[in-house]
Amino acid sequence: MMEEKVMTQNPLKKRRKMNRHVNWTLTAVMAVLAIFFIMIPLYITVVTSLKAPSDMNNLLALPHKMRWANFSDAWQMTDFPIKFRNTAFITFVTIVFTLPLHSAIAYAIVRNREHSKFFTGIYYYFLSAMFIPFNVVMLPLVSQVSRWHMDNVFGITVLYIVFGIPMNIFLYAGFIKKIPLALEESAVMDGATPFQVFYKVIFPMLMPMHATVAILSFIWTWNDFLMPLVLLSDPNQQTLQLSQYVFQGQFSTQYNLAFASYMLVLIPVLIIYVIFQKWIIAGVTDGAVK
Amino acid sequence: MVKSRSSVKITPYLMTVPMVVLFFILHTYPFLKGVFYSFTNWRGYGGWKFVGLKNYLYVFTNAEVTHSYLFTLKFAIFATVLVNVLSLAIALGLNGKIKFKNTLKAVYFLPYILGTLIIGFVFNFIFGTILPDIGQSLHIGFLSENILGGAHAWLGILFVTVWQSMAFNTLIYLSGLQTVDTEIYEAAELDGTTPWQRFYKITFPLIAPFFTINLVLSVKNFLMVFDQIIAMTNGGPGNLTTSISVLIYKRGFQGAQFAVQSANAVVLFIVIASISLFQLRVLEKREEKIQ
Amino acid sequence: MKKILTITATLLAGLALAACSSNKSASSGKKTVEFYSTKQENVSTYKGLIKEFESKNKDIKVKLVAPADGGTVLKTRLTKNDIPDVLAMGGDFNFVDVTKADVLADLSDRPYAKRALPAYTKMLKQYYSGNKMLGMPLAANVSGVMYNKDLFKRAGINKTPETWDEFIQDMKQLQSKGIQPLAFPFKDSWTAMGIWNQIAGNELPASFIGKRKDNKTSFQKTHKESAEKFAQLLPFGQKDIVGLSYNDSNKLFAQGKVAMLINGNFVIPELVKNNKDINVSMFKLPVSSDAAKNKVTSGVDVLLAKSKQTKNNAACDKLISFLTDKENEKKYIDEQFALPTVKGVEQSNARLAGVVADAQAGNIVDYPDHLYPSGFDMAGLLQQFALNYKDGMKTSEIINTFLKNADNKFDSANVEE
Repeated sequence: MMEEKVMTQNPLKKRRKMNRHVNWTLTAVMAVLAIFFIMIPLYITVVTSLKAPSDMNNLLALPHKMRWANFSDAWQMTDFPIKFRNTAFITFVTIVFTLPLHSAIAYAIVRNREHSKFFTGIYYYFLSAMFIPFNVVMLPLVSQVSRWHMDNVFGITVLYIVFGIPMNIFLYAGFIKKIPLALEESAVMDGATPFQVFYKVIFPMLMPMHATVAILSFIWTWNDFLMPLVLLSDPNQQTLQLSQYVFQGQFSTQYNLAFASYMLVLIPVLIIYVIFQKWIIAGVTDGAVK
Repeated sequence: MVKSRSSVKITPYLMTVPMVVLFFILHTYPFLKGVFYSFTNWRGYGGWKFVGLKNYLYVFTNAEVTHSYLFTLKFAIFATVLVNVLSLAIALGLNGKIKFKNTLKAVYFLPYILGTLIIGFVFNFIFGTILPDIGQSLHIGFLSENILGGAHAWLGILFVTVWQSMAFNTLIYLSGLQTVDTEIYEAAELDGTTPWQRFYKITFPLIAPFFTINLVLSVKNFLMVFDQIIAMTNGGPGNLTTSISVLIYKRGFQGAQFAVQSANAVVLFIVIASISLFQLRVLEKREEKIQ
Repeated sequence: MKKILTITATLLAGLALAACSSNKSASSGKKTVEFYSTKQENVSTYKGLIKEFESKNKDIKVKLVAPADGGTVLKTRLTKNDIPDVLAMGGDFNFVDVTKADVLADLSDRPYAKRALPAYTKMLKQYYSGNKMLGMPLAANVSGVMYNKDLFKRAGINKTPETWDEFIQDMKQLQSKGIQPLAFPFKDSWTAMGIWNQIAGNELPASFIGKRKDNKTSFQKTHKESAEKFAQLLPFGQKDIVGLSYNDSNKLFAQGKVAMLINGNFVIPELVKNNKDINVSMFKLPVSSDAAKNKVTSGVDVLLAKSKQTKNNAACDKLISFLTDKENEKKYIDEQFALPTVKGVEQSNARLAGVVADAQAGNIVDYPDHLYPSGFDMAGLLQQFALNYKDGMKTSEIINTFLKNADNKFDSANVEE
């Protein structure tokens, strides 16, 4: 009712008029809050990572002289290349396997749920598994996983791929439901096998959801700490987050070195964020809302 | 033709069954094993025997465990309320007629993509060194002490958690607000309503589903709080900030406590599952009412 | 679509290769020995020694692992049944746990076993039953008070205190000259044990724990005086008593901003790292008012143990033998300001002079907490103690709460046997 009433007025003209009034007070408030609460801690991280230990009298000031050596020292001390390679491997492989495998599960469930108890069952099985957080399965999992020699980069990647299923099929299912059946039917008429229908017709259509799932998987695997902490004991298999914890004691009071090391972990994420910022924000929003 | 029909039938199974089996082996099976261990005295290695409900009795009567539950619940409630109130406020601000909207949005979302452990380390330095430094030079009593080393250490952890978690919830509220038609708003404005009335009568009902999402996700995450505590207080001072997850990690691998903490994990599961289900029920009902 | 797939596949293969390469280089003819340390302070010393060992044994590669909170991490590895080849750990409750898991090899027939000082092998044997030798001591620590000689001089104190009253008197003297006597790094709760062990170790016989486990005595009945002495120290520290971390307190001391730290010899290398000219020395904490009764707290700081399941038995033995030969033992204790546990090696550093004589004369008590049941978090209780003090609770009330909690928590931790 209300909408109709509004529509009858001349909306276009009115909107243009309203938009000219930028609310500068609100802009200022939002900007100050952003600088004070979000940017200052990050500023401190950057500044501290670039200072010499003797330059630490005024903690908030800019460094007198950039000390890039902090970075090379941290790089060497924490074995950055190995940890980076491990983390990149885990993240990348998880995403590469997650997208086709999980979307396929979701597709199979959505298209067969109505006439098959089996698929309804699977759906509820995964849905209820969402209530079992990692902490609950952690103790028995640790002993099981090492007995099967999965306490390494490869094993943990398999775990990420498998543990992501409930959340991701939930995301995919919502999207797939909206795809009209007609598309698939015409592909079948053209003689496509069910696998071809999925990978040639459906899979490409899921692009927006793939982006979301990829982004969420990236944030999860790159930043996860607890699973690597209990599973990866070999330094050659450890991830970046875990190595920050491992070296925390060895940094001792060398805060500049420690912060340089934090920066080394944050920089790849920040670069990706700056480049894909719009995608990431849209992807995460879609993930939660759909 | 016959061939293709059978493949039509088989394909969905091929797509699901292997992953279901893997999931069962790597997730459900350990979960069931954990439930099983919780009735034994297994130490994580060596032999074992059944002990009945002894471990559960221990969990329910042990002061340390009880304290960690109380702390975690208190923490989760405060964090959920604060995060949702603040992120809704920020979302309203970002949804206003402001300049640099996208830049500001990107800045407010930034904390979400950073690792919690590292954020914890950074704030550990801020609370332990920078703030006391400022506090001492300005002679502000409460600032000059490390909050993480006091009875209110949990507030420091709460701050960091809110700082990081706000990002995600803000985004969700913002996308909710963007579904609200500005025309309705402007019409209501013309009708002479107050901003609060407009928020309560128009905005809030429309973003109710987003509120549900945020609440369910927040509570579950906050009940699992781990990384920031390990980075900042390691559960101290005393055991003031030992959350359930921290307790399971710290005690669970200590010989005799393996089985006890398995029982604790089962209790944690029941708590999380019931809270989440309860929330979903109540909030969905309320949503229906509003709509 | 195909393009994306090809690129993905190539990248994937590249990454997989990269991830494999480290394993390959490790397995190319060389034997790898994992050397796991629960401590992080001595990593640089280990690194030096390992480098030398590897250059002498070209067929062996030693992988040093020293994570933060190494004790807990080691327990996750017990659960995984993934035991490091060689373990370097303290002779403490972590060792007790590991011996219970029955994963360590008996070293008593190894040639290097004879090198160990009998006092320390005996100390280790009380942690487990049976007559095996499960740990080869590498270094002993000694607790006491690190003090800044220059600040003592400035306050006009010429001689280190020998009784509790003198100690309190000296702290007052320091305060009157505007010098902060003590810093408490209680944000890292384990440091509180450095004080507690010295007080309780001197005040109570080692037999207490056995009796307590059998419920024949209690903390409330026996530990009141120890708690009172702990409380007496607190006013001499910084105001923000639980806010300071171990690293930051070492920094304060190294900068000359505080006169004393109560902990162990293992702090000295950290102090020297922060300021190599620091004029630091040690004396024993004079717990008793009878100077003759005071003993230093000393225990096995690092012992080396070998996994039963190691695939490189000979290489492990070589490594343990190498680390405990006279020359390397000397190098270790010099760099770490530790006490020797091997015959024929002496610690002659002047910074330790105040405590070495006692230790070498056998005037020592073991750390009481080495026998506490695992999961009994005394350090957390002491942290709470300090916090209650900071919050202005009455001392008698603090002590009562503390002792009561100690008994409760002891009982709930003592369920295992």
